[in-house]
Formats: sequence, structure tokens, C-alpha cells
Amino acid sequence: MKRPLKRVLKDHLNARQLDAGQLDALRSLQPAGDDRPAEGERNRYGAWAGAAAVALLVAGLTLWLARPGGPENLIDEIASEVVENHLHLKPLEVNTTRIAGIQNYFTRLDFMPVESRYLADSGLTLLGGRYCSLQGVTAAQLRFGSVGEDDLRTLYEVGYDSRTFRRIPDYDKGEMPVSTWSRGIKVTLWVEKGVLFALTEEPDKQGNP
Amino acid sequence: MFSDAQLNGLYRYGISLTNDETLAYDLLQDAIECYLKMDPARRPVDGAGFYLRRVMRNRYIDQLRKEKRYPHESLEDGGDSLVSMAMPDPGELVIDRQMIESILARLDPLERELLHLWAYEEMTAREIATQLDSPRGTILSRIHRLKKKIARFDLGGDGIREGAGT
Repeated sequence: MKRPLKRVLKDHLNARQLDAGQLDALRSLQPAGDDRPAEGERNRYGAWAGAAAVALLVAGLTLWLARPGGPENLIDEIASEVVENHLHLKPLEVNTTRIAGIQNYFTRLDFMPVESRYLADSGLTLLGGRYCSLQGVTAAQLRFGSVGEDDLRTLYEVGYDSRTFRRIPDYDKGEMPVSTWSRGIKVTLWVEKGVLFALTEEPDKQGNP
Repeated sequence: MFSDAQLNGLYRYGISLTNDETLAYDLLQDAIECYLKMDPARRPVDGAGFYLRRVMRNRYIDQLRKEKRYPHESLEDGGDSLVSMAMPDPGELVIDRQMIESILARLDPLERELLHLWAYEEMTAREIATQLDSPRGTILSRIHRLKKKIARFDLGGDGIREGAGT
């Protein structure tokens, strides 16, 4: 069966990738502790993704600011979007238990995914993540589980813009996270280290984050 | 520093260049070592990927020259004076997907590299020209000849053979 050359070549090459040993060897060549993308690296796809993210952000903010009610409903809107994604539980794009693994994978974001102090004693274990969007802005969707329990939670991280999300409590300033409910699922939101976090929590599995 | 996606992208570029996964890995490793030895202040601002591809390419060409296997012909000659200056669309070519390996084996390293940049990475002629440090018109000529060459492969039956020509 004949197919377009471009498609055949992409399939052929995409099936080839470095194995775990080769990746480890190449990573070991690089300076320890430097998990950031190479300085100046802006491939064509990355540039387009960045431009698209900025365009989406501007369009999203314009529409949001123009709508009736202003920012009052923002928390509920975010919660609704977060729950929608949480319920779908789409497959993870990267499986890792380390934040460094997450930071290595998410190179197309305009912020660096970070660990939250608020979740430090929650007992949650990182499982992996995938790209998603929140309010039209490209975001990281991380999945956590609790050891020994059937409790999957979704944590969203997106770059925080104080002009846009000013009503979200800042944990670094001693403000406590705010919680709301959407379709039977509790969603907790806060800002930390310049990143907006949104965590889902199913009612019959609530722990004490 | 380099994400897994970036490393895999460069590895695939190496495979296209060499048609050999072991050689591709060795070239990638050499190129990264070379990049990391540079003074960070002097590292290329246009992107590490651009620089690493160049190092991989130059090292492989040096190797081919030592083995007297460097493809001198078919690439820089200007045989097609009436080449359309429009960027050919790789999507117009259709091939039997079972035959892609045979096709790649029949192309020389620089033709495979061009095919990679044009059809896999979908670079524009100007971007390819910058990457290969070659005039845009030459790139368009090379793509035109490459396209004709692939189209001449008459794919059928159990093997691959060249057709009567176009």
C-alpha cells in the first residue's frame, strides 16, 4: 500500500529512539543538576508552540476580562476545567517519580514545573505527567497516587500571572489555599513559587494535604 | 540540559545521515561532548540543535573522506537549470511503506540528510540553506533532483528497482 513519503519517513524514524542506557549515558555527560533545556535552544516547533501559547493566553485573557462578572467566577471556571480533565484520566506522556524527570520532559512550557511545599507532607507519590491547558494556557498535568491506596489525584501547574489570577491565595505569603467543588470533586487552588497549582481530591478518598 | 525529545531528534538526524543506529549514537555523543567543552559564553545563540547537527555532519563527512566514500557527485552540480523555485511538497510523493529502508539505503548520506530536513523536520528551503550553509537556490535544485530520484524508483513486487527514468 502506497502512502505519502513524508508520513512513511516519519513513521520509520519515529520508531527509532535511544534506549534507556543510551539516554542515561548521554545525560551523564551533561553537568549535574542542570535539568534545564540547552541555552538558546529554540527549535521551530518550540517557537511555534510558544507563539501559540502566547496567542492563546492573550485571546483567553481578552475574552475573560470582557465577560460579565469579571474574575469572580475564575476559581469555579478553573475547577470545572480541572475536573473535566481529571475525570478523563488520559494516558501519561511521561512516567517518572522525580520532579527532575518532569522538568526534563516539559520543555515547551513558559515556566518550570516545581514541587509544592504545601504538598510536602501529603504522602502523595508522583506518577508522571502530560501536557494540557488551563484557561487556554499550556500547562503541566501531573498525576499523583497514595501508597497503598486507590487514590489518584491530578495536579495542574501553570505559570501564574498576578494581573490575571490575583484572587488565588499565595502560599508563600502565608495565605491558605482556597477550595471549591465541581461535579462532586474537590479542587484546591493556590500559588507557590510563581506557579498556580490546582489539585483534585475525590470525596471518599480525602486525605489531609 | 538536553531533553529526551531533543536527544531523540538528534539521534534520528544521525540515523538519516548514516543509515546506521550505532554510528548515529556515536556521532551524537561526540557532538554533545564537543558542545559541552565549549565556553558557555561562546555557545551558539541560534540553538544547540543547529550546532549539534553541524558537528555531527562535519564529523561524519570527515569520516567518509578518510574512507574515500564522500559523495562528490549529484549534490552540487547544477544540472537542472529550469528547476521550479517553488518548494516541492514531500506529500506529493507516494511510496510503498515497506520499501522505505530500501530507498534510504540507495540514497547517499547527503541525500538522506536533505530528505530528513525537508520531509521529516519539514524545514523550509531557507532553513535548510542556513543549516547546510548553502544557497537557497542550490537547496531547491537538490530537492528537485532528490524528488526525481525517489520517483524513479519503481516500487513493485518483492524488491525495488529503478524505473526507466522520467
